Amino acid sequence: MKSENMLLMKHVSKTFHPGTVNEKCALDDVELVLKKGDFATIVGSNGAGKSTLFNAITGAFFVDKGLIMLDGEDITYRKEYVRSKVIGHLFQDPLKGTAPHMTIEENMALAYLRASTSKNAYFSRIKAADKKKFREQLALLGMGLEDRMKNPVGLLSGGQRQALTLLMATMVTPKILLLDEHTAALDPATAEKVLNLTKQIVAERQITCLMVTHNMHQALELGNRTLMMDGGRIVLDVSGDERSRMTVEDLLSEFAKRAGKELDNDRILATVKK
Amino acid sequence: MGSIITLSIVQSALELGFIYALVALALFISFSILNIADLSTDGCFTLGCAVCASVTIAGHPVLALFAAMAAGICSGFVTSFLQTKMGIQSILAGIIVNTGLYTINIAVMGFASQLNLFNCDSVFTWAKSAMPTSWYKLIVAAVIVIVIGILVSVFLNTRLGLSIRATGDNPDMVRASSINTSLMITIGLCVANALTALSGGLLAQYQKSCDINLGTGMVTIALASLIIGETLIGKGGMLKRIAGVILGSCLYRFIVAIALRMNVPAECLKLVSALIVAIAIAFPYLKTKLSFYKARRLSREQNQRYIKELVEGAGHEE
Repeated sequence: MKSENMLLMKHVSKTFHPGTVNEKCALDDVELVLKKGDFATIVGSNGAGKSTLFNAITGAFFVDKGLIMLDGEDITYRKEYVRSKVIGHLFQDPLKGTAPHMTIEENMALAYLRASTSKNAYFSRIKAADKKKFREQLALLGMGLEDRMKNPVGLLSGGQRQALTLLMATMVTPKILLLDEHTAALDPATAEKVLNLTKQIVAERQITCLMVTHNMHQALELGNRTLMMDGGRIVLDVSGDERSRMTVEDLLSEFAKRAGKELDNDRILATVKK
Repeated sequence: MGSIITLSIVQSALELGFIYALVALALFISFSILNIADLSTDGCFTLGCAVCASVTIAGHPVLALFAAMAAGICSGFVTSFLQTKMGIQSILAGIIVNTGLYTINIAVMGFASQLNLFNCDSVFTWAKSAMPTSWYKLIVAAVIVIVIGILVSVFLNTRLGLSIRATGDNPDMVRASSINTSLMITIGLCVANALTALSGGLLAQYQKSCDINLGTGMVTIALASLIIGETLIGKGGMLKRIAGVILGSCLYRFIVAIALRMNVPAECLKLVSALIVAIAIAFPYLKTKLSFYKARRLSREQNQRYIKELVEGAGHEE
């Protein structure tokens, strides 16, 4: 059952803490189709459900209702560690993507484990050929990490760790790459470096990609689609000519119209004034 | 000093150090690597001891050691099953298994609280007849522990071992990289408890007896050895850290031997162990604290001079 679509979400809903005062409908009947090679940016107010959407895709929890299909396969009730074989996920917190007390080389070996399907690979050690490959890939980052392969990852800076995480997430080309504000916690120069690297990798391998950002300019410039979320729903989905004609002001007013309120994310608004 | 440490004390401290090093190694896997406090250690140690004693009495000393390990694996599996499939917190899972093991251990020993192996063959009696030296016990224990240490080091550097290490280091990352955390915890705890039980088994053959209360406080003792080792050796590769754990275990036995030699009554040993653990764990913290106080005292003196200069400076301006 192969199709044009990489990701398909139909009537996906998720409520946290049902039946309590903290009840929160985090995803409300979400409909989303991503074609192969689509690169969509997501913006939205605080608590709009952007990270929840990602977690539903990766399987951090099972959704209450709805269908999730990845590359023609029903993954709705597939376990997280099984799905993550083909899903790359980067978090805002650069510390989340790597194991701090293990060396760069060991971290990369773990990521590379996804590539192997045979069981006996579990008892193999890191081969010299693997090390050479890791070295070449690290050199592409231009951060000098290739000479620090034996260093524990905990010694690296946030930007270096995030770049390494990106490399690990894409070492085996994932079917979909989920970027959850992965440059937001980095200083501007490093953020740009990691973002350029992201663009390069995604373009070279035509990875289907979803990226949460709080930068409205990025939301319109990067990729080929822009989604806006509010109250657990996707309230706006623009692409093609309509998107290329849009300005940040258009996007904001369109959001106000669809969501029935102004966008209330301070960090987003801070980027608008630029 | 010569009167406190005699050759026979060194010898027996090293023998016990190597045997108990396996428990410390087990905690190295569960506590340092997997970041789980496995409190079933006490019961599992006795389980290994009881199983090994029973099989040794039946006349199979080598099989007995493997049987002890198998029993340990079962115990570790139950602990991890409670954690990963039943949603019980890791500490509670350990305590529950530890409690249940008491009955099982008594049952394994034929509902007796003690077993004697005085007339049985064991790996130590074999070694005694094969080696013309009084160091045969140490040689047997050291060879077994060193071989196991190397095996554990090799294991922790395989991809499976890396996955287990990452599970304890950063669970978020592990789930995102297609590693089954439940399986990793299960494998880790099974290996760790196999080592604990093997240690108990070796001890049964070493001291030619098995007692139902043998394992009491074992987790504290092993933790002391582990922390002494990690404090002394510090960071580094797996083999180095494992060597540190074995060294820590031997050092702990020396400390206990010296305490005994200084006429500390045997009943007080558990208290001594507890004190050693508390001191060993607190030591790195106290060290940084002490250096801070030192720096603060110097800085305060300097600041007093600055304040004085400021006050004098202000006086001149007026």
